[in-house]
Amino acid sequence: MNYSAKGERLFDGTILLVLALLCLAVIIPFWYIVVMSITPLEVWTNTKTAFFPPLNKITFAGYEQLLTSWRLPRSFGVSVFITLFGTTLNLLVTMMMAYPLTLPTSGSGHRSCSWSSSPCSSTAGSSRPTFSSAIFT
Amino acid sequence: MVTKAHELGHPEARTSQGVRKDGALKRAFREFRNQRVLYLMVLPGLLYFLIFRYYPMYGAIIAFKDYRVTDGITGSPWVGLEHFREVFSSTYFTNVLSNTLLISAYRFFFGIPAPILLALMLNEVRITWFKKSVQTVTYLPHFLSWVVIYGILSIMLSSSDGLVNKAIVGAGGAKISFLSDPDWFRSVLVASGIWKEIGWSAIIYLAALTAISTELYEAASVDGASRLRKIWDISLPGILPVVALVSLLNLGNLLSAGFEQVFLMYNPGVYSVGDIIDTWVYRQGIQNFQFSVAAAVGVFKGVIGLILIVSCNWLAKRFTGKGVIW
Repeated sequence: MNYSAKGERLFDGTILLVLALLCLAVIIPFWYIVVMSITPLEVWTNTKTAFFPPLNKITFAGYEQLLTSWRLPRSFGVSVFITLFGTTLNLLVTMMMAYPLTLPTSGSGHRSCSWSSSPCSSTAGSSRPTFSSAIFT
Repeated sequence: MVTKAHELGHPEARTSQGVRKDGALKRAFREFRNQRVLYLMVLPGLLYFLIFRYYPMYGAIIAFKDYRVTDGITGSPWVGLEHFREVFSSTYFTNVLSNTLLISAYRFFFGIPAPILLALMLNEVRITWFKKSVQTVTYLPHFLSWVVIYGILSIMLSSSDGLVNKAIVGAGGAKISFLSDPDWFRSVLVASGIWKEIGWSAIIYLAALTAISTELYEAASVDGASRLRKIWDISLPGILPVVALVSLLNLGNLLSAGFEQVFLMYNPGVYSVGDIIDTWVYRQGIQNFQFSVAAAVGVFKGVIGLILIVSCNWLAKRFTGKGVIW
C-alpha cells in the first residue's frame, strides 16, 4: 500500500486545485464588478490593476444615485410583490390540486384532472414565448 | 367544515351503503356529489389550465388562416397549410432550426457531464469547510437572473476593456469580441449556461452520492481499489439512474434552446449562429406582425415537443420502471 500514499495526495491535490479554480471563475467576475462599482470612472479607464480598488479614491456615488432615485426601490418593490404574491398563489393552487389527486381512487374524474394538468399540456400549443417572474429567481 | 379525508376520498367509503345497481351516469354523478369538496379544491387549478393552457390552443388555428387583426380569429380566411409550406421551404428557417438543435446538443453534451464531474469531485473532498465553501460559491450564479449575468458577461468579455481581453492582450494575444463574433457566440452561450447552473445541477447528484452505501467503498478499499477505480465502479454506477433521468428530461427541451439567455445575449451580428426558433418566432410574430407564420412555427414546435416528452417518458418507463412525468 505504499504506492498509494503518494498517489492519494496527488489525487486529492488535483481535485482541490480544480475546485479552487472553479471557485475563482465564479468569484473573480463578482469581485471585478464590485471593484468597478466603487472606482471613479476616470480612475477606472486609466488604471491597469483592476483587482484592487484605489483605496484613496473609492466612491459610492453610483450607489448613492441608485438608492436615492425612485426607480430602484419602485422596481424592487414590484419584484418583491410579484414573487411573494405569485409564490403564495402558486403554492395554494398546486397544493389544493395535488392533494385530491394523491388520494387513492379509481374515478374517471381523477384521471381526467391529472391528465389535463400534466406537463404534457403545457408544451403543446404555446405559440408565444412567455416572459416570466421577477429579477431574482 | 371539518371532514375527514378518507371519508371523502374513497369511492369505496360509500359503496357499502347500498348504492350499486345504478347506471354509469348516475354513479358518476353520485361520485361527484360525494367528493364535491375535493372537486372544489381542484377547481382553481383546473381553471388555470383551461384559461391559460387550453384556451390559448384555440388561437393556434391562426396557423392555418391568413390572420388579420381587423378580421379577428374567426373572420380571417382559411389558407390550409400555406404557412407551413412557406416556413419549411425558407432557407432561414432551416438555419434557425439547425442553430436550435446545435445549441441544444452542445448544452446536452457539455452541460450534463459538467455537474456530474463537480459532484464526483466534491464527493472526494474530505475537508468539510472546503467542500461547503465550494458548494456555496458555485451555487451563487444560479440565484441571479440572466439579465444580471449578461451584465457581468458583457463587462468581463467586452472587447475594449473587458478583463478577459485584458488578460489575452497581456499574454500577447489578439483581442476577441466574444459577444459579437459568430465563431465565438455559441461557445460563450453554452459556457455561461454551464457556469451559471453547474453548482445547482450538482445538488441532485450529490444527494444520490450520499445514498450509496459506505460498505461498498470499504469493501473496495480492502480489495485494494484505487480512488479512481472506486469512482468509476461505485460512485458512477450509483448515480447512473439519476443521470439517465436528468438526460431524459433535458431531451424534452431539444427545440427550446433557452429563449431568455439567447434573447438577452444575441445581436443582429450573430443571428447566423445564434438565432433560435423561439427568438425568431418572437421577432416574426410580435415585431413583424406575421402572426400566422409565427403560430405555424409554434404549432410545429409544440407537436415535436409533445412527441419528445411522450417518448422520453416512455423510455424512462422502460429503463427505470416508472415514468418521469406520469
